[in-house]
Amino acid sequence: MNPHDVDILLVEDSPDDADLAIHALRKEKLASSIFIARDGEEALNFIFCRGEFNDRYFDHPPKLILLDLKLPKIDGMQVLKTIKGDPRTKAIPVVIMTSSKEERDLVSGYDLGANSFIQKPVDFDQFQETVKQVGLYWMVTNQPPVRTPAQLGLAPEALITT
Amino acid sequence: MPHGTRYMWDPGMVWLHVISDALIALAYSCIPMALIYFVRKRRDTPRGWVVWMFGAFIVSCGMTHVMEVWNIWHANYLLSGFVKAITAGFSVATAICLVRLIPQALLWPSPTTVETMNQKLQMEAEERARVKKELKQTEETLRLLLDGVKDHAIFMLDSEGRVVSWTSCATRLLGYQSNEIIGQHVSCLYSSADSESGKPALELEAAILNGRSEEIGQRKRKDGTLFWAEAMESPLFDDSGTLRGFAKVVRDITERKQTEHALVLQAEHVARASHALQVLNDELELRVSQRTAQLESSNQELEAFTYSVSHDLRAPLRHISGFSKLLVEDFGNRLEPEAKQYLERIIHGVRRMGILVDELLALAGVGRHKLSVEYANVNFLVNEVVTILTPETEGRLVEWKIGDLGFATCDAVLLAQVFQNLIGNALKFTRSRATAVIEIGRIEDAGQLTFFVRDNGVGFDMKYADKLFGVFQRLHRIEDFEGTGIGLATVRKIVQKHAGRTWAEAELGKGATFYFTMALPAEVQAKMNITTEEVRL
Repeated sequence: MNPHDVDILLVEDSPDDADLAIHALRKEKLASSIFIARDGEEALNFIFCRGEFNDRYFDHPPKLILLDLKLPKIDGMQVLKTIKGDPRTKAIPVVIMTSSKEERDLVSGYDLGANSFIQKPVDFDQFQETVKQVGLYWMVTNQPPVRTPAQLGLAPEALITT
Repeated sequence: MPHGTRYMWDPGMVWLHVISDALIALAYSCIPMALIYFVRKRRDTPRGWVVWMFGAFIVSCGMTHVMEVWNIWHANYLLSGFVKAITAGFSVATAICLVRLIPQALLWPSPTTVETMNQKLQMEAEERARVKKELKQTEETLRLLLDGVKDHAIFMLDSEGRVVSWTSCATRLLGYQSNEIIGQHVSCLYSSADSESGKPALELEAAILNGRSEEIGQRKRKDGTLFWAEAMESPLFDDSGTLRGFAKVVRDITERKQTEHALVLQAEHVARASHALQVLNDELELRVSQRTAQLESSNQELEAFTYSVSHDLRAPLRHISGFSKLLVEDFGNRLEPEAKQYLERIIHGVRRMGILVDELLALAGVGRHKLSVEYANVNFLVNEVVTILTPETEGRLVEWKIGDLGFATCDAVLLAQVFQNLIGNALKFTRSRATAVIEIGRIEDAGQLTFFVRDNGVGFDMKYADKLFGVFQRLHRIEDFEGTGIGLATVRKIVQKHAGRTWAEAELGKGATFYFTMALPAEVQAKMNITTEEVRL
């Protein structure tokens, strides 16, 4: 998987959930460019092009981030807060997909700027349906924001040199 | 020539002269005797020498008469002349003395005056006796009065502080008899420490200075025992302003001191008790806060637990369900029909378990839910619930009988959940009926607000009525009616949070009615502070 050209960043620590999600997305032909981050730290490194992803560029952000909340190292809420707190990344749509339906998670998720909040259904049919709808909506139906150099974190000079 | 010669020795004439002169001489000599006797008896006789002069004058007169007798027979006229001359001398001297004595003699009381004086004296004596009697009576009264005085010692001191008068009440209080104490200094009635420090003298000085001195302190009885006393001294001045002494009153206040002491002890006791109570309270508060902390911590644990259940239990279920589905989807054509059926059963079981977990979490959620009380339009709530449940009525005939439900003071979200459970049940258990009749109504009886949901479904046997609202309690087979046995438990929990109660009436095959009360009007709920209460499962 080419980390430079990613449409969907799936932040999910469970390989089972990741496989099921990919399976659902594949059905809708949306799984061609998915990158799976297995914990919060990897997700942030990917998004902010640092650490093992320092060769990535800000000008190719994922079109959608599917974010689980219960994650190793840095939890989902912290990841969300970092993404939405940074002007370079705050425009990226973040959909929280979690097992729980805790009210406090809902409230703080939206408070921090989550674009959507989805509880993963136990039933696979429903799960498949949900993932399909989310994928189609954000990847196809929804019009992504026009990115400005400032949003990308690039100075005008940098823009010229690229 | 003797006188007899001139009398011619006429015996009559001679004896007449002799006897007369002799008697005169005798009488003259008797008078001085009587005078001497008188003067000797009456020592107070003034001017004794006048008497002697008078005596000498009378004796010499007597002597002249003796000489007259002598010269009857003898003619000793020279001697007679000398005697006469001496008599003349005494007479003249006595006469002069008498003349000089007259003014003084006039001052001598006459017998009448003496009589008057005597009468006066008599009266005075009587008066004195009367006064003396009165004085005795007064003294008696005073003695009785002082005898009657209790707990007080009244006595007098001289200007130096020595006891000069003592009373029976003083004896009674202080133990000294008058003869033992009179003349003693008042300091013997003070404690050794006080008397050594000069306190008695200081108090007397203070009394002179201020006209009075009062003090509460310890005093000593004859037997050496000390007692608490209130003592008062007043200085006594005579008309010239000279200090004559002091009147002193000592009062035994042992009883008062004991009462005071008892009061102090009691106050201390109360203070100790209240301190103990405070300590106990503090301890209790500490324990309450510790318990609260424990409770909070266990609540947090519970919350973490339900969160885990929610997240961690659902995830593997989802995986089982997901991969079973994928197995059927991707490899279904290679599986035996029986294997496919088993997989379907796995999927079905997982779905049920998913519902179970979700409903359990909902029940736990009710416990954790903070009541947000409002005055809700119940018809509005019920209509919404009916709309939500519409998919379940598809292809069925349902007759809704929704009465005027009015308003209720409640948490609208939770009340909607109650109706959703009850109406959902009604729909479920009327599935076999050609026309399901579902009635939702309100009964108001003596201020008690009761709602009910009635159906014409399969009903249940009333002997199981008490099991209805328990968690996981089911009265029907799972293949007849799906369900987890959590719905009515959730209903009861919500109603209990509203201080209400739930019950049901049913007849097997004829239908069931579920009742619940919304017990409290707004102001009572406000009093119960339900809005801030957070009851946890």
